[in-house]
Amino acid sequence: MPGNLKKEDLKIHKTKKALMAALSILLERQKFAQITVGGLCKEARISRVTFYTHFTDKYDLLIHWLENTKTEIINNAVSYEVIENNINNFVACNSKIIKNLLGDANNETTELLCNFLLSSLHIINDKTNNGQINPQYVVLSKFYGGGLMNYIKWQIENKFPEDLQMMNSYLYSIMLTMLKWME
Amino acid sequence: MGDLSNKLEQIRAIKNGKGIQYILDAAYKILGNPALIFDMDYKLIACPDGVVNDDPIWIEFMAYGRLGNETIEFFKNEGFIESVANCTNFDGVTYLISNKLKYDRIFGQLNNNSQISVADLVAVACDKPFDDDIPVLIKALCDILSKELGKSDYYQNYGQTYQENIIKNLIEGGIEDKGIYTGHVANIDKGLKTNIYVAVARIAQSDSTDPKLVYFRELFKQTQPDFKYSIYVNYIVFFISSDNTMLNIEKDLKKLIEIFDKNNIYVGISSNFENLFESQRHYIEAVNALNHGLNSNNKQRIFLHDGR
Repeated sequence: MPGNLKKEDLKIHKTKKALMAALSILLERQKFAQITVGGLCKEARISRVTFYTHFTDKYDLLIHWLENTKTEIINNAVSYEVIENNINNFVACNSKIIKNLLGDANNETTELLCNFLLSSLHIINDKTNNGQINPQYVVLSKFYGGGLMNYIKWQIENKFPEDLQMMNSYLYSIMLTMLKWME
Repeated sequence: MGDLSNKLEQIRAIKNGKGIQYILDAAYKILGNPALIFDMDYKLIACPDGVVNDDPIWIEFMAYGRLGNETIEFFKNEGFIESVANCTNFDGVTYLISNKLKYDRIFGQLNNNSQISVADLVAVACDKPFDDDIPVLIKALCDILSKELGKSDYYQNYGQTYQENIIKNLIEGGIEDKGIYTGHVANIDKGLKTNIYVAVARIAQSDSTDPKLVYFRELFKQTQPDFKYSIYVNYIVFFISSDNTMLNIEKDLKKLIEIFDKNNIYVGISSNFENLFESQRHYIEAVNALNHGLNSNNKQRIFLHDGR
């Protein structure tokens, strides 16, 4: 639980947690496009109005779920290696969910997932301190993100091959090389 | 189990027709804890005779006849209002437990004959801890109390006024604190299908003071009771709902179409939505659809936002 959570927010945190759990359960079974707010509310046993008190739509809930997962992934991580390891674990443990997020025809969820992974790896910061767009970072994040998504899809489709660990290290060394090249 | 069925039988045997005071007195003896009821404005309706306890919220009810804003805010922060909103769509009863409350309590909703929530029942575990079977007993008690309230014209009118006020707040966009209103809006949402539409009906030559509007609102309600109706400005505004994102007028409004045709009533309908907190935008859509439709002079009676 995030440390800055106010005491009065605890109950609301519980509602959000129930909705995130419902989203995970439904994503194990179906594509994100097939999930409805009604279905989420039924699974979490909350009213539709309660849902809309906290979230604008199911995409908003997905973003919240990804943010929450990101906090878990980067929590106390001291190096890229640890984050990388946490991401690999996340992908392996949630392969059905990721498959269902990647399977959406409109690509919106793929982009959300991609942004989540890139921001977990701290490479989505495409703006300079002045708030200006940094074209190099834009190219890097789009290029790397696209590759990462395809790679994860391939991993899942091939049921996580045995030499995956070596492949993962290679992938992240590419990223580190790219980041160095940026400096 | 034997004890539960025994108590359940006793609750179901409480005679209707002797008033809510009588029911609450009898229920106190069966449950071993007192329960009071209050209306949707947090005003006390009734409590068992002669009960004195040291529960601060009970004392507040006895002293002021209602709950103050501070307590309502506390209810919101403790997630109680949300719990109530959630139970509206499921069991109809919920526990309200917090280490900030002196005693645990259990809550149930009471409806009038139109299935509009008009009051809440709260039992307080101040004399003894709740038994595990308390939700079943409270549900049964709520059913008996709802039947009793249903006999009263006052609660029929109160329910309608309450519902109209919430609809008015929704279409005026006047709900600033969603947390406080969650339960109230959940009452409007209750029974509506996945896709909601705002409809506005214009009755020829009538304004908000015209009794014709009240007459037609009641007629609509009797004809199609699962929609939610209100009078707002010069219109009858109502939330209609459908399982489909594309409204099928012939099917979804089947029962009302005849009334529209017979009485020269024109209707504008918004696009579909799910979040009642967005009602204002859709009300404007419905009014615009009606006005554009009337100006276009195309002999239709129902005008949809997307121009179909």
